[in-house]
Amino acid sequence: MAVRVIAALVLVVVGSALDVPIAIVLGVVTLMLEVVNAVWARLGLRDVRYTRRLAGRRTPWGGEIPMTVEVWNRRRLPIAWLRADDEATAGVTVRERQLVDGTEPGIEVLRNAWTLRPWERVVRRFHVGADRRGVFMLGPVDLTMGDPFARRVAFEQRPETDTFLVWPRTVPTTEIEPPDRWGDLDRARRGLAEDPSRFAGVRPYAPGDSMRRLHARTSARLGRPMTKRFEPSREREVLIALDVQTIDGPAWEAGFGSDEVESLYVVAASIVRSLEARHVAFGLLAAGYTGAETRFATVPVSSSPGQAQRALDLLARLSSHASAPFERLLTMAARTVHPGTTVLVLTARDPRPFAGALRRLERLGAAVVIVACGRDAAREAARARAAGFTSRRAAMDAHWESAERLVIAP
Amino acid sequence: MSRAPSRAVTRATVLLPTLLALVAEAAWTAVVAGLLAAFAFRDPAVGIGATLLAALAGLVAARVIGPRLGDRWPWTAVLLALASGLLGWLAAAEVRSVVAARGIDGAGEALLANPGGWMTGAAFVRGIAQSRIPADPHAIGTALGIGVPGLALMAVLGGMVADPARSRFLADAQAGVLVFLVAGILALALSRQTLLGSGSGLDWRRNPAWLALLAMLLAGVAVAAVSASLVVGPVIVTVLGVAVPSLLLVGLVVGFDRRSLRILVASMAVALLVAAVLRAMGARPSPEAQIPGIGVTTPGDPNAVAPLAIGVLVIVLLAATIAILVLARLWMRRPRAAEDDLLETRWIDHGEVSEQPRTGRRRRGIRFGRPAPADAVAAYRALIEELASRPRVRREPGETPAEHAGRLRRSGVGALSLDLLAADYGLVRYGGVTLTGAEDRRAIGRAARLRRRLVAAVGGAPTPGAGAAREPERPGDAGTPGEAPGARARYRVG
Repeated sequence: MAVRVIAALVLVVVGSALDVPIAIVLGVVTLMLEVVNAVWARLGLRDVRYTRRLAGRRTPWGGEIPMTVEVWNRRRLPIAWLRADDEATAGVTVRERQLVDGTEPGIEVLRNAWTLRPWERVVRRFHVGADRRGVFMLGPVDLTMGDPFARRVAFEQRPETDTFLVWPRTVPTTEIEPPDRWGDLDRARRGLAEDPSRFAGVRPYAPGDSMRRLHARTSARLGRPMTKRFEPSREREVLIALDVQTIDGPAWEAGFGSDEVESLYVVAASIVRSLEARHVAFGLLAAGYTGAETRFATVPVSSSPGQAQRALDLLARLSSHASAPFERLLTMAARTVHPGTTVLVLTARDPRPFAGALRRLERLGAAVVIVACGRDAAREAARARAAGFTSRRAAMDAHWESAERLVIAP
Repeated sequence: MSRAPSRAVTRATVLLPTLLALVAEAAWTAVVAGLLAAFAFRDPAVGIGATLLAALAGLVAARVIGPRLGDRWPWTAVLLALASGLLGWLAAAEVRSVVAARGIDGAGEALLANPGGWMTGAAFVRGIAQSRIPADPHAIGTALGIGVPGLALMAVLGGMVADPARSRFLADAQAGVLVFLVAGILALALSRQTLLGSGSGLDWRRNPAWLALLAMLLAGVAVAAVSASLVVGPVIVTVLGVAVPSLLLVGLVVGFDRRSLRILVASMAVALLVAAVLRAMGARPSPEAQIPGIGVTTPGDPNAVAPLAIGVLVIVLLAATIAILVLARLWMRRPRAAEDDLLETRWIDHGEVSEQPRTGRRRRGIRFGRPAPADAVAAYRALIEELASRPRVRREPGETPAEHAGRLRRSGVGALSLDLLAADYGLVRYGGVTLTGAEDRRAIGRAARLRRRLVAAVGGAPTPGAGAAREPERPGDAGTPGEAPGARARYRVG
């Protein structure tokens, strides 16, 4: 700008000295353009309000969150153009706009431009989503403004950011185990921890029932053996232990196959949804990074409302690579697991290396069910069975992005 | 309404910066053509019209012929540019007569008869450079960036030519330079807007306020530049004439040693020599154009008509900008089914009253002071604010709009229109009803009439100190003689 001003002054002086009015005209015009530019630069962006609002903070994969972007010119003069470049994390998609490359390599921006009359307020509506699960951020925003001659005149970076989560995809799934039914003729496959102080009634005797449980008076009155029934001391609990690592080897050396990891997350999310629908108390454990300081991600077992959301939030935040060996995660789980809890181990690897940790869980009274995922699910499930564990094989009917159903079968 | 006209208008809007850029290119090439003619002491045979035609031809050729010829296009462009220059050269009758009379032997004389004609070839080439649609702001910016110092240099060179060619050239060139600046700046602004708007939802046609501001600034800059060229020159010369010798004298006395003095004398000698050489290169001035005194022009001096011509030019420029504004307004009235219309809501918000999107069109014009209300809610709030300083008619803190309107009507001061306005206000603010544009306009009219009526009924001047009607009155004010007690005061009194 200083160069232009000096050049303009030189033109005016030379034109005056040589009596060439054209040089004066050129000099004065250049000078006045610079003056207008300087005045606009002085006004800056202080009377321009920019607001970005997300209607929600979470969406499942494939879903979208409505978003509004509002600008307000709070001055008496029009603005020739105003451009807003919202930085967006890689993977963010906007239905109405194509993201463009930002000034920094690898960063895409949502670019909007307006021309604003005095006091004009404009609201634009968008729908944002993402092409994968994860944590996504919009912002900060770079605001750039033009003077009346449409020259760039002011720039400001506003630090406001908006974060949203994209949950893994969920698909309908078969139940892992038929739910227990009270009072029917079928015997529970595994006994639950019962509270003998809370008598719940009687049921017909079944082979294998303890003789101590016989209700003598009722059996005498009815003429056939009846067994006492008690309320369980706690509800049924399921703890999902997710093995983020998909390739054998040390956790810090193993690479990861993005697609296989995403499939694993889809299986986990679908099971979470299924357990929520059955009102089962469940929790989640994984050895992955979530942005917190700890290397282990945990959602404690609970059946409270919002438990599925907490678990899905965690699955959205989890890194695609392991933060610690899975054995260590299982060791940590052994400290907190209650007797009677079913531990669902979701893994895409050979389960034999961490069989010791699983047996320890069983010794503590937990039921371990290995759900083998991935390309070699059948083989891994067979290996688990051979090692003496209950195992299931999880398979989707298509690639995780287009699958319609998840089948969990023996 | 069919969409075809809308598309045509949109296409025309996209073409506008390119056309303006062509005008700018034509203007500077015409100035150079005039300079060449001045050097040859001939009347310029090629004006801005001819160069504009050549530039247009270049654009059309680049867009129509260029893509079809592929790799052969550059050579074809050169040939076409030469042909264009040839046509411009032959545009002068003198050239044609010399060529017809002497054939190839008269080539030298014919070349000197219209050297500026060849600039149509340059205009053709510049037309090719501006053939990108939508217009490329970088190309226009480059043309302006090189054009401004280039034209200044041309003007300085043209100023060395002897009169009357000098005066004629400077008068013609000044008009050309103004056209170049106005068209170039306008083209640059519009092309920047068009480029920014692609894919990001910006449409400059929606902002007539900016267009008006741009036109005003351009007109102001042009008028100021022309005025300055007439006034500033002598002032600066006088100031320099006084200041430089004084500074030299002070410098000589204060700091010049013998060596510096020698350098100064040598520099002055060289300058005088250069001036003499330049003067010798120019033609001898014609006797009728000699100026007898400073600031006095002879009757035959072409400079005398320059201000008049410049004034006419400025008027033409203003008319053109107004025409562009009118066209822009017409374009905006047409229905457009742009994608962004579906995503975007726009309204004027002064930050005080309604935030409802405005549906109807708004009366435009120059307003002073407080901005005019845009809808019924704003009109009602503005009226209440106006009445707040008048105790007899103001709305008390405990009154609803309907109660206030009813009280004034019963007292004979108000009118039914206040009830209707209050009803509109209630419907929008509390009923969630969106009024139509006609209803908003009726409400604004009612508010204006009520303001006049109520202010006249209670006297024009507001009561001093009564302006704080929004503040609840204190209990102590309830018993003030001569004033109606406020609502809260009434409750407190019982």
